[in-house]
Amino acid sequence: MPKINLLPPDLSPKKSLLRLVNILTKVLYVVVAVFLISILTFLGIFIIDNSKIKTLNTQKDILSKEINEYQKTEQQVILAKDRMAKIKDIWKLQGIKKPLESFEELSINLSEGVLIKDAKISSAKSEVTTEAYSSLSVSKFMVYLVSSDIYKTIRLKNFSFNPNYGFRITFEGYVD
Amino acid sequence: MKKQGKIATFKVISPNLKRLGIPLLSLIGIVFCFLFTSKIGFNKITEQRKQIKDIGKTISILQKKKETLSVVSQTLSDDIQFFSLALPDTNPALSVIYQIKNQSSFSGLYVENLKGGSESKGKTYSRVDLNFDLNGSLENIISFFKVIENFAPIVSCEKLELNQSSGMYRASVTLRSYWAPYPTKIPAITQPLSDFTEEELNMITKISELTLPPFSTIYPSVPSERINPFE
Repeated sequence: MPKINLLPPDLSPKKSLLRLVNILTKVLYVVVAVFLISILTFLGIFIIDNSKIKTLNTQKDILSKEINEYQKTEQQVILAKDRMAKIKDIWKLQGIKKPLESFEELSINLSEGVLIKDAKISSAKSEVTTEAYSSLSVSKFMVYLVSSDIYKTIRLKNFSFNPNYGFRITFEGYVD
Repeated sequence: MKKQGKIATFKVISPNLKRLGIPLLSLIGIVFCFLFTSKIGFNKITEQRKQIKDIGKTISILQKKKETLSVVSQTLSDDIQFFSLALPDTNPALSVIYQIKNQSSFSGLYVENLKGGSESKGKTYSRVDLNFDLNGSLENIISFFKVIENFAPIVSCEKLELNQSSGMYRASVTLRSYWAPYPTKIPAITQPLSDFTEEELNMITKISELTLPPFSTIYPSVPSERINPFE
């Protein structure tokens, strides 16, 4: 039977519209394809990354277990580092280490006939009293005291003479 | 009635619009779905990548830590008691008194008036001053101060007053000894651990060479046979 279009011609869609619909349908197919491909890509990446995370987590667990076996060593390291940091701070304080070293040098190199009568050593200064029986010993001692670099600053506090003990010299020495 | 109204409205729509509407609406729908899925997908992948990066970082820290620990376990001896004897966690006055008496007798000095001062608690470490008098020759007194530099618990000399009478010297000394609490927390396993520096290794050698008080190691007594007193 022949196909007869009984519809009035104003009811049939326009040709330009049909072309647009055609183009839209093709675009739709493309978009659907892109949509499906992207979903598959996302899924693929998700699965790969997930397995990667699982592998890395296993690796991390193994390493954690291995480190746990060194727990005693770790404790020792932490204790050692803690003690060392604190000891370092304490050693920095020094106390009267430097003045004591200077005093030691002075006592070793005392000229003949000179002896240390008393000394007060603190971190700030050293107050030393010496006694000498002859003026020659006094001059030798004074020359040594001034020429040596034992004290940066020397302040003479007392110089006296008594026939019982000879010359008595009291001075303050500053290391810094 | 409502349904019939809707059908009537659809019939009223021109065939041109009907033809265009279906693909257009589908396209809009698909684009919307695409955007929505992309957003979720990107977020999820970004999150996973961040997780991978974080775990990777942790693994590299753990690997470094493991290497450091294995190296340190070979260099650091099993017995690191000298650290806790050099700087104990409690007031070391008794050990210091013992060391003073021991070292002074070695140096040919006589100790008297040994007194402990009050404790002074600090943030990182605490300290206590010990006062005593030493009697002997000047050389011996000076050598005593050299010796105490190398004994544990560590001390520092704070004050010295020397007095000479009839050829003998008397030294009034103030020694300061220190203590500090032990660390109570071990850092998290993922925290990096640095190896000992050259300076620290030198310090370890120096501290390990300090003269320790002899009662630092207490060995358990061996059980002995009980004797029957009635036999």
